Amino acid sequence: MAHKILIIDDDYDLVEINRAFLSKAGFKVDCAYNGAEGLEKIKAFSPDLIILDVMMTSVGEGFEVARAIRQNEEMKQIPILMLSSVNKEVGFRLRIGPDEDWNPVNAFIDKPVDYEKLVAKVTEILNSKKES
Amino acid sequence: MKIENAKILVVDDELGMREGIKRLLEIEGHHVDTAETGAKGMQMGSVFEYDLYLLDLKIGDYDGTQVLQKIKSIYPESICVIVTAYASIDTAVETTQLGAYHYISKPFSPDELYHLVNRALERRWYILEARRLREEQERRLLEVAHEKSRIRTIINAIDDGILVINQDKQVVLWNPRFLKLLEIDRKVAVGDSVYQLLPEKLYEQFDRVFDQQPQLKAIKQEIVIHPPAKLVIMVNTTPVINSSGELLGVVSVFRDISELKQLDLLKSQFINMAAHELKAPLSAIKGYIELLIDATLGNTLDQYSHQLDRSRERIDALVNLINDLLNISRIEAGTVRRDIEPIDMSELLQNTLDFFRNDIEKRGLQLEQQIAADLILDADREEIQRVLTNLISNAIKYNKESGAISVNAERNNGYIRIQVSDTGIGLKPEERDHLFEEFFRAKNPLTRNITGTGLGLTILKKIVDSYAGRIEVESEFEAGSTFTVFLPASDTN
Repeated sequence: MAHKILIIDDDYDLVEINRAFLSKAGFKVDCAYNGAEGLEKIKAFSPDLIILDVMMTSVGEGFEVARAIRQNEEMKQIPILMLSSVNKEVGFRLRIGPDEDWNPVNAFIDKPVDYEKLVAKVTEILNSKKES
Repeated sequence: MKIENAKILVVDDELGMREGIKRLLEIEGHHVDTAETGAKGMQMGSVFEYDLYLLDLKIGDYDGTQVLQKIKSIYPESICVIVTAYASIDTAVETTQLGAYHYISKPFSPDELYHLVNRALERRWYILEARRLREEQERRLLEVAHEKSRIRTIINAIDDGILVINQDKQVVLWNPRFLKLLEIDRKVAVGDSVYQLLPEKLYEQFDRVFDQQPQLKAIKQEIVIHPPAKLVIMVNTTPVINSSGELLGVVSVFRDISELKQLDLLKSQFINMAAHELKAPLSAIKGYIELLIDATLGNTLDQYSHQLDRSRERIDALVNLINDLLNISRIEAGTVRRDIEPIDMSELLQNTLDFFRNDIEKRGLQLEQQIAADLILDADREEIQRVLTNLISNAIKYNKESGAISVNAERNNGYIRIQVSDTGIGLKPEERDHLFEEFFRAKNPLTRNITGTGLGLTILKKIVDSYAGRIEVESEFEAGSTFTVFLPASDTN
């Protein structure tokens, strides 16, 4: 059965583009345009992986959503791939919490996104999850 | 050493004695005044300190000892020699006790007189020299005290904290700013140990300066005193070394750099935001290009067309963003060149509405307008055009389909008041608080397809502020917003 991927990103265009490439790669894709909508969709859609934009309405909102997912018993196992445009996690270290080393995200991909890499990364994370 | 050309007062009621002594001493080069009565002697002897007083013990009206006492009371260091015809041990002792330097018995030979006067003037010389040295020392002490208080005043007036420590790591000198910066409430005394006085991370710095001998260097360190208060202090510790290279102590200067740190943080936050905003359209454009290249997606012509449209819109938005960033930077740097001229706001506003007429009709919006005539203000046309364009384009972009726009312009207490209302998405109270912040954009499903830089209102506010105007916002979420701009009207209105 096809893996389900939820894209949470406030950029309408990027959502459409990611959806096209991931669908083509054989994934079932749904999307949400902000954090609150994203958390609702996780419950309804039960994705195998979440692609999360780092900065939506506010700086670091992506991390807040990631933290909320990790602190929810039913969602915390879902791997998160974070899209970031600001040199990965640099600049947001303090917002990750509860301590600096605790990182709620499985991997980062830099914008602009290379779609082959994105699909490869998604596949790799899903495979490693299957093995463990 | 003795006094040459001394000034001498002779008090004697015997004319022959007065004149005789005067003549003898004038031969020696001295200046001699005489007084024939005790009263006159006391009067003359009081107004001026003679180098030597020769006082007759028996002076008709007065007792010579009274003259002696009077003179000694005024000039305690004066040299008085008693001249007496009744010399005895008793008189000698008595007058010496009253402060006489010596006595000479009548009659006396010129040599006896010279001998005694010379000794007396020698004594006088030593007294004067001692007095001179004493006065000089006092003057120097005064100077030192003055210098000290001057340095103290300067140090206390410096806005940086200053602390001086000796080689035993005891505090020697500090100023009030130092105590305030480090929030030291306790009483500090010279000789207190730095270990008692300073937080640990600071005396570590002194230890490092002391330990690094012999190649002593200044150490700079940033310390955060109270993390919640965000007090960041730059401490600059410099060793003080004597000519033989020994460490005498250290001087530390404490500077509050909290504000600089805060500015630094704001700057890097702004750069992060700007980078994010610049990368977002690039990501979208690149993504669309890849979709177009990838033939295996089997896109329809409509889809291609849509992707190209979106790409073009994102490119336009990117160019706008870059222009806005440049504008903000120019406004903030104060390098905007302004051509201030009288502007007919009524006309400019009407022109702007005409410019947008197409967009208004395309979205089926009802336009209501009430623009008073002859609204004149002195300003740069381009900047005011930008304010109006921003207000009206926002009212169109964030409106709902077939909504309404209402535009009002009138004079209001020396201001020109421009009000633009829409029936659009409105703002939540928390959104309204951030409205004028750089890169803020209301984001919800309704704004998904609206392009914008997130800088328009920031720039608008900067322009309005720079004309000493103001902007007010009223808004109801999902019902609409009203922006009211006040700009000072021209005096000629």
